[in-house]
Amino acid sequence: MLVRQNVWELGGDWADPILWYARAVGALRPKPLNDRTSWRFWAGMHGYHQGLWEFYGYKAPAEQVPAQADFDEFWQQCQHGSWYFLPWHRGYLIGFEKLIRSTVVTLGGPPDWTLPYWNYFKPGQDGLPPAFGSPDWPDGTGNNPLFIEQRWGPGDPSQPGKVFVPLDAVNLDAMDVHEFTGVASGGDRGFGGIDTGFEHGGTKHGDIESQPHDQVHGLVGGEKMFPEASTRPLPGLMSSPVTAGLDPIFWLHHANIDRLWQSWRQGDSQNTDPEEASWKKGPASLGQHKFVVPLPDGSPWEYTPEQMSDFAGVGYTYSDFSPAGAPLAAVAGRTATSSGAVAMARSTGATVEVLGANAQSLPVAGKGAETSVQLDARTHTKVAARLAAGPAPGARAEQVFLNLENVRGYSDATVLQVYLQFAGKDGAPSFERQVGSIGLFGITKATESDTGHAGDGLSYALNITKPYSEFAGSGNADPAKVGVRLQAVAPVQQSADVSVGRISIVRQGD
Amino acid sequence: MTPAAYERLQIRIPLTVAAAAAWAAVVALSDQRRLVAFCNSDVWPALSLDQLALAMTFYSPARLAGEWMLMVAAMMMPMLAGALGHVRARSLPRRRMRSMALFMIGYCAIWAACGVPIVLAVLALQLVQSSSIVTIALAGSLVLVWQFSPGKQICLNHCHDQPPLAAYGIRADLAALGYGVTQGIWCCGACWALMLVPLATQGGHLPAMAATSAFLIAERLDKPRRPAWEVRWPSTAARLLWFRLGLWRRSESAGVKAT
Repeated sequence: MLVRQNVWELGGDWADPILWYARAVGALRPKPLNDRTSWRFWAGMHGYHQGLWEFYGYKAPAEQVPAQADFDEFWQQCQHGSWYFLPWHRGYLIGFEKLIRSTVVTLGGPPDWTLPYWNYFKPGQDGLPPAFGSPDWPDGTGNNPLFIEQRWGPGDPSQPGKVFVPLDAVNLDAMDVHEFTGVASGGDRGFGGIDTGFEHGGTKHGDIESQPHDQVHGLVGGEKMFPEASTRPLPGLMSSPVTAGLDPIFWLHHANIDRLWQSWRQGDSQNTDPEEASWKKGPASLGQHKFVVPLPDGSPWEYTPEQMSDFAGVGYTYSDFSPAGAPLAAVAGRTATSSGAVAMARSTGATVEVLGANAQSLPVAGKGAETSVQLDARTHTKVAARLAAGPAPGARAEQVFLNLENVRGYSDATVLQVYLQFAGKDGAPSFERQVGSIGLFGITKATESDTGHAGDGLSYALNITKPYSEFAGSGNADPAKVGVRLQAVAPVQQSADVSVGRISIVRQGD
Repeated sequence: MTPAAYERLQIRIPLTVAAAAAWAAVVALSDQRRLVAFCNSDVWPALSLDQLALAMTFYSPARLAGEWMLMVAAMMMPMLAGALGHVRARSLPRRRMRSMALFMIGYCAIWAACGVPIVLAVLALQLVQSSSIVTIALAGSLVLVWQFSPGKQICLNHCHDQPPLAAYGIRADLAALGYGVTQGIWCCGACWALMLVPLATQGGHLPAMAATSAFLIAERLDKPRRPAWEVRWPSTAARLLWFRLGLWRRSESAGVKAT
């Protein structure tokens, strides 16, 4: 069994697995764009944007993209905003690891090479692994293929090199969600995402995709102004789905997300993958694109979510499954569903209702923006009573979500920390709570309507049950409205035209 | 069933019931329907004002409009699940019915208004040439040109629009109504040419209407794509049929082997 190791715990900045990874990347990068085993072909399978690739020098203007048949079969497959997010990326990682291992062997390296993972949550490991941040090989010579110029991090892009994941902008809340798939109407979307068809750029990301996946992409990639090319900021490679696969750190980030999927499944007996045939057989069963990547010999390997869900059969494991690197609580035994039985998700049939909304679209620029959500008094009273009483035996727990709807703009790197403000009544002081963050990974594509998207932007749902319960139970809080403050981790450029179409609060329960 | 699938059913079931009722009415009234007869009347090839006046005494405009809207209801209802589900999800619970009603009013108003030029287009085709073959060829050419145009794709893409909607007061009413109007416009844009087919088909009108309806639903299953002049067909529906027929098994076993 091959074991994927923590990149920070390999025994040195340039431990053997990293050194061989760098050599393999260096060997694959010069290969032609249309070669199924080239570095850039694999990046194009995730996403592609001719302008950005040419501007950053990853494609020469005269260079041909793969022939139409290969382009249609392999490229632009990445699944986002979909319950296929996790299984598609697992197959993509498996295929990639096979290619790198085969290349490592060709170069004289070990036949059991595995892809390391980057667990930014573990204390002291939130920084970019050093081998990725140095332009030089360990012997001091330049041209380290793991170093990427277009990786600007969350700070000032004019002073590169400080790439890290600010821990106050990411969390592991998704690990506490017990259903793989959820609702699309404003309540919980489930750990793995909502039930969709093939979604190369869906607008409603699932819980583990929304946090920490999206944030880490934007926080690592960052963005930079290139006045000669555009009035808008251009994304670092990791910041956009159309360039992310070009950055070698992408694969270590996704290995961590993949690890968290298995960690979630092991963490609680309730946490199981979907049993629906449309998930297990993949989008091909819906008349849509199949999941397929090339093997090291160039032949296509088709895979289904069902195959990816069988972790014992995927051929690798991880050195540690604790989400943040801390010891796991005792793992409950898995409860198998009876053969052929489809476990009905607990939130199937739940009532989802709007509790209040702000008045108009909110532009976001500079350090952030603020608005207030007017609450519907009748619904608020009902929710407050249910939260105070707690769930009746057998009933669903009352949950409350903050929805940021139709978020549009041209800044995929932006991460906004979200705060709720509860105004005091009769002179009582107001109080504020951070309720999470949103990463705008994929927003440009979701905003442009001429690229085959509706152009309605991305939508987010943050679970605010705890702070809302505190607010609803407080006699000193004004129940008429709730303030919402969005605070940008890095300043949002005015030219990026970021806006939130509507902010609403939604209840989910019986 | 997944939570999202359950939510979709909550919208699809009433829409399916409404569409089925409209279809039942269309079938029940098929012998008495005047709209198709009106569009295919022998009067049009030899039109004169006297004959037009005579024709209008036999065809009540109100009745023609009613039949048109019945046809629209039967054919379009199944395609409204996404938009109506959006209105329902974004409305305060006490305003849901009202917002959905306003959406439908806006949507139907556009289709009612579009009925006039669409019926006139059928009549114009009748006027150009008396030979039914030429009429079919002309209508077919018009349909094909529009089907493969970027304009059609733009309309189809916008049929997937789900904009922000205000929650309170008159702004909420206007938002729901406006969303219905814009969806009506994009829907008419996507469907007008194909609607000529059942209108211009007197013999076998019902099968033509059913086939057109199935085609419209099938092409709505495809994802939005970049507008361009290109030959398009409902590929998702075709592949879905292929899979459901069991032909996917071959590719699946090939996939397992590759592992």
